[in-house]
Amino acid sequence: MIKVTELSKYFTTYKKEPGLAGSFKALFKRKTRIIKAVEKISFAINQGELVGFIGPNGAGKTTTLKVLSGLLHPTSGNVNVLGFNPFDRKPEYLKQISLVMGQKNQLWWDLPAIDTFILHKELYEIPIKQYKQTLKELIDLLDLKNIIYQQVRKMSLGQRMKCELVLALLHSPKILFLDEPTIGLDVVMQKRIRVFLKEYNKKYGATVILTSHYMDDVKEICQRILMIHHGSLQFDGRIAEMIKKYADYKIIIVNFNKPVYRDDLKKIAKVIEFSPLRATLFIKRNKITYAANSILKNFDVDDLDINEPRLEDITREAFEQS
Amino acid sequence: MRLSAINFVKTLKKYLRIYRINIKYALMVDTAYRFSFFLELFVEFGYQAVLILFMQVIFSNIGAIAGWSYYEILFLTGLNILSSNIIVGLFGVYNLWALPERIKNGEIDFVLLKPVNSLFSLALSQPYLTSFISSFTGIILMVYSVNQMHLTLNFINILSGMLMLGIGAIIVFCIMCIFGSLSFVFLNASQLPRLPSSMAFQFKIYPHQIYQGIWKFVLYFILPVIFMGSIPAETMLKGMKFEYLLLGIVLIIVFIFLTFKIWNKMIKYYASASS
Amino acid sequence: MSKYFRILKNQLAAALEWRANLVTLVLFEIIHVTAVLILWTFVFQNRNDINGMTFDQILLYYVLTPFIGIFTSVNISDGLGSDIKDGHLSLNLLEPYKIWLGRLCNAVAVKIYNLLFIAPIYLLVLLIYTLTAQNPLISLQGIFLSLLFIILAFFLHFFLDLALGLTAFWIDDVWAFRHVKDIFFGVFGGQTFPLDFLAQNLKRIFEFLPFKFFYYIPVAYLLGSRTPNMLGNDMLGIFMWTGTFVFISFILWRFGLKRYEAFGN
Repeated sequence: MIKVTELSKYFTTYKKEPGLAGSFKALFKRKTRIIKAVEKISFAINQGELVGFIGPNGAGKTTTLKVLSGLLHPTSGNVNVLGFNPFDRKPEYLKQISLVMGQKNQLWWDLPAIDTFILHKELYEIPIKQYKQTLKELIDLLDLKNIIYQQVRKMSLGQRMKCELVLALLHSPKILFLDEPTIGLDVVMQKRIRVFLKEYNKKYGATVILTSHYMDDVKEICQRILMIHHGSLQFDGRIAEMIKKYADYKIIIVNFNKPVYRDDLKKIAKVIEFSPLRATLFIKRNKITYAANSILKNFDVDDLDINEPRLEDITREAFEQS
Repeated sequence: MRLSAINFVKTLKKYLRIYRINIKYALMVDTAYRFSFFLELFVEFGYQAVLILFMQVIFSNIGAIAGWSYYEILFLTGLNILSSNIIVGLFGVYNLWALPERIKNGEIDFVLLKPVNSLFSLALSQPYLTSFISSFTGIILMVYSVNQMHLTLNFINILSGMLMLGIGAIIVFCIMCIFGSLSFVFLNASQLPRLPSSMAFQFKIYPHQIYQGIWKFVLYFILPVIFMGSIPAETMLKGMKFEYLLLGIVLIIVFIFLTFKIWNKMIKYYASASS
Repeated sequence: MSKYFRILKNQLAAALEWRANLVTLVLFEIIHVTAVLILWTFVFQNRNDINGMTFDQILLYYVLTPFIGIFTSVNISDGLGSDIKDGHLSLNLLEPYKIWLGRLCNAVAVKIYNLLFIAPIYLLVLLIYTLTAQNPLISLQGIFLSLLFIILAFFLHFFLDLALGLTAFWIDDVWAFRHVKDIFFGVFGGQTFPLDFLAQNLKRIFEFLPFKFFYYIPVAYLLGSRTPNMLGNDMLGIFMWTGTFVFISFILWRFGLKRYEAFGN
């Protein structure tokens, strides 16, 4: 239902020289620079999938999301969502999608959340019976019983986020786009939101597409990951596959009794984190035994731990490789 | 999009419902900040007083101008207060004047993704209620002037005048939308949407007869803000001039067409260029 | 001293970012001048003077008044008010320079920025006028005296606005004061109409208030309707009013800061 072919999106920005002289010059003549936010990306997503776009800041995730939702016009390439060209922003298309952006509010600040819901019902022409039922289900799922009658400005950040989700889902969209949905939330609330998104997807079959630079968002919610870096698609597949592809190594975490030098460790393995009494190292799988023995022999080791790579490390590796 | 009659009525009802809800919410918010509300009203009255004082001092030193007597000018001033409030309250404060701010903080993205016309959402949907109240001074001034002239206004003239005022409001709204849409391109121009209203305020307060030559051409055809001041006032006092009605209708058609074209073009540009 | 100069440069650089607002600002002025021109040209079609002022005088008055206003205007009360309200002032207090001087730099920077782009239009108009008019009303002496009062009026306005902004220590809606100030300035300062238009008894009241210094006085000196023999009185007046507002600002700052620190805003 989502088909993207060779999508590219370039932006033109202006370069200004620093200082007062630069500001004056900028009044008359500015140098333009083209930023390639997204470069020839192709992928397809089916109804009901839970997909995560990951990548470092500025990689092109948010841009891709905005193109899919219809906010941005592609520079080149083809985008087809639910049979529509999203950029046309036809009402029939808009009624089937929803966008949530972390830390950005749609709710009216000075009024109870329920008032924004009522307005939303009118905007999307939701029949009253459907509205009441959907609202009830969402409130139950998110445990919001009396909170929706509170003024939004008096809510905590977590409560606000939950209400934003209710707002986004009132019209039962087929696709839910989320841009950094858990940013700024505390750990408990982050988990709550992730659980909710999974439940919602399971119960209603809505496609959930999110961008995040929190690994845990993606780990816990998504079945499929699209990794975007420098505007191009580095990886598209299941998490397990990504681990197999990029994780040709294991992780050793060592605690030392006496301080050691980083250079000495570098001879044996790749050093990821270092302090004089503790280090985290990457070792290729076939060299694990040798490395472990080396370390135990040459250093005064208190404790040595061998682990499977974390998703964070894998992605970092993947980005560094490209 | 196919516009059958039924569809049109349905859509109209939807937008009216949304507008009614927005008025209700604006009231709820305003009554929460009661002191601010009265303060804003007080400030509005202050500006009105300045306008009245201005006209008063000028014309007490001049006498009649362009065939308008003192009380006719006062009537005109009252009408101008009313029409200024229309501009400020219905089109300005929370609507087009707030557009640059909305673009800057990203609210636009949410607005564009709603199945509601963007022009309505951004240029019309949030009325500023204080203007509704402060427009009464204008009406009072008009009634007072008419009394002082010992006139009884013809009912048809009043209606015609209101019709002309409505035409003027649409024209000025269109001009404001056209300028406002430039905010999508010139992102740092926070004052840009105030340009057309400022121009309206400056030029509509005088009798339209003072505009001659090239200025007549500009103010009748290009930036016809006189339809929000002098022309409706004259119509109410002296009756409808058919030429003005015709001109008004033609202007509305042209301006509405231009507005939609330009607005949509600017949004397209925004969607291509923003990040 | 150099740190204030750097602050000034930064403020000016920041102001320059807003190119499109520049154009808008220029257009506002052009619109105003045009409307004034049209009105008075029409009015003077059938007469030679109004209340003692000729066409040239009135025209110049209405064109020059907003121009002078740009020279003498200061708008720091909004910023200062909101800084106090939202606690931003605390950051300023920790910075190694006097707050009021920092605000003065801000005001001066905005002034330079305005003048760079608005002044040329008015100067052009003036130039055209002086080149084409029969008996130009503007003399060199007038320009000099007017300039003197413009600078003094700028500082008067600064301290008045500073005092206004400082009331934010007690009052929530300082923004409203700015509107009230604008209205008072407009009416009592001579922007809405030349003070000469007023009847004698009213005029006396207006003369007593400080607002005349912002528009009426500098323009009057420029146009020659005020002569050097009135200089003494006017100078005394402006210094007294400035001193008053400096004093008020000082008091407000003293007590306001205590209150601010007490509430840990």
